[in-house]
Amino acid sequence: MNSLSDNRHESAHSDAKQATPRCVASWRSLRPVIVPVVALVLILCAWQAAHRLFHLNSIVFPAPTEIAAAFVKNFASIMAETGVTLLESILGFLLGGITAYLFAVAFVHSRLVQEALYPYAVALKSTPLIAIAPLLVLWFGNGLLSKIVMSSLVAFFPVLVNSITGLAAVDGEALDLMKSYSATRWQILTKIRFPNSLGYLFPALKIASSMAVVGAVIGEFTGSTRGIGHLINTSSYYLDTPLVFAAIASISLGGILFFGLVAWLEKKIVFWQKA
Amino acid sequence: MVEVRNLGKTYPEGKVVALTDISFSVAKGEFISIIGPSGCGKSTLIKIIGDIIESSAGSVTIDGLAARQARLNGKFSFVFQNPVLLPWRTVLENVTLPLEIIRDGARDPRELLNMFGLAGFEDRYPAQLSGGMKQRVALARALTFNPQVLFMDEPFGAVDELNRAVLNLDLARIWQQIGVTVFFVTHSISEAVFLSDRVFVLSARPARLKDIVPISFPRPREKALQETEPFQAIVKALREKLG
Repeated sequence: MNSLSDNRHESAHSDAKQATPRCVASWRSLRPVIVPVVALVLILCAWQAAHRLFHLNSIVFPAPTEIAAAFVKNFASIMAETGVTLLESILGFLLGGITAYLFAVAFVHSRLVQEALYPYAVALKSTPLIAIAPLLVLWFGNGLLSKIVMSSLVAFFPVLVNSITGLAAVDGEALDLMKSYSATRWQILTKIRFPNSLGYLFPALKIASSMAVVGAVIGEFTGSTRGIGHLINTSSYYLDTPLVFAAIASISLGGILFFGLVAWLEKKIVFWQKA
Repeated sequence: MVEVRNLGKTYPEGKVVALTDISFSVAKGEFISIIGPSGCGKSTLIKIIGDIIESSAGSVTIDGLAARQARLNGKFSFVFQNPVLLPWRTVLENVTLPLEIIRDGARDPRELLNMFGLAGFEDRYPAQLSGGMKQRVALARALTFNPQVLFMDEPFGAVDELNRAVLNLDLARIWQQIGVTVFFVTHSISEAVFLSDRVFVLSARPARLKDIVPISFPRPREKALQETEPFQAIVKALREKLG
């Protein structure tokens, strides 16, 4: 139907008339990319100019070109440490997310469990997690594990809250329908509650993906020999500020990719949900 | 086949009496419509018969079985005002949902979709269907296994009038083919008269069974029946009974 009417639409117009809307359409779709890129370029130019004009100290505030140079010079180690941090973040994200989801399932199915444990989940949320980072390093060593645990703790709460909501927010008539088939709780969970919760789960996963990176870097600051947090720590110790900036830029880009991956999965998996 | 004796429902919170002392019996394959003032408990009544909610008094038996046992045996099927389709399943997957639970398929899901005029839509998702089509999918889903009693709670309440007329004709035709016992809750008196063997009239809350009106027009009933004088006379009489 659509392609038919499109063809008719095209044949009814002259070539010149067609060309204009096509340009407009491509500008519209690219606009959200082009505008921020142009803004970034302008900001970097202004930054570079300010650096030269006011003779800013590169240890305090390096120029973009110096940062770029540091990035190129240390490319291999920046990539390796970013990889370590992202690995910790992803594993922590999975550990925290899965644990939170299982807790949510238990909460939704047992009022007793929810009454007993939910207050502590809220308490966990209110605890500044940076405060327990030294304990985690003490317990789990200064390798990957302490960062994964740290990262999972930060990712845990948003996933828990949204999963509880999503598992419980099932249409009453859908439950009546399942009851009329004499469905078991397990069947209701797998056929109704679980798919229904996905629409609530993914927004939380997007938040958790960013939080997980923060958690991993905090863990690395506290005690580690690897990761972007460690690289930032050591390079700031040696007053290599351009490298600090380059490391920050790299992990922030990694975080954006991680977020983008989760957002892409959301579109693929929760395809029925309107944006 | 369906025996209802002195059925009552009182909600403990606030002691609201919804239904009181309702008794009737329904033969196998009968089409029963239930009409009554808004909020009088029509939905509550069919949900109690279908054992989705519990009664406070009285008994329901289906072929001698208690309602609960009949439900566990897969004898009941429901269609609600909302189609309640699962948006992550295709039309065909929605229709086969009950078979995954009851595991007692009686009809070919594709054939059912055919009967409801949904051939070619098997792989669509609910979001791609119109309201009337969604309700057709819900109807097909309700009949894939072999329910003995089909409960319909204002199934066409949200469908526009033109579609509603077509759906009524389709429902009447398929009901005759299948021979299932139907309880049909509706606000539309003419819909009730057109479809039913008997119309149950409930009073305002606390609802009692005020009247049972037999409808004896021969079947299959044509759309034109609704324009005839005897039809209009029954509709008018029922409207007066509802007050």
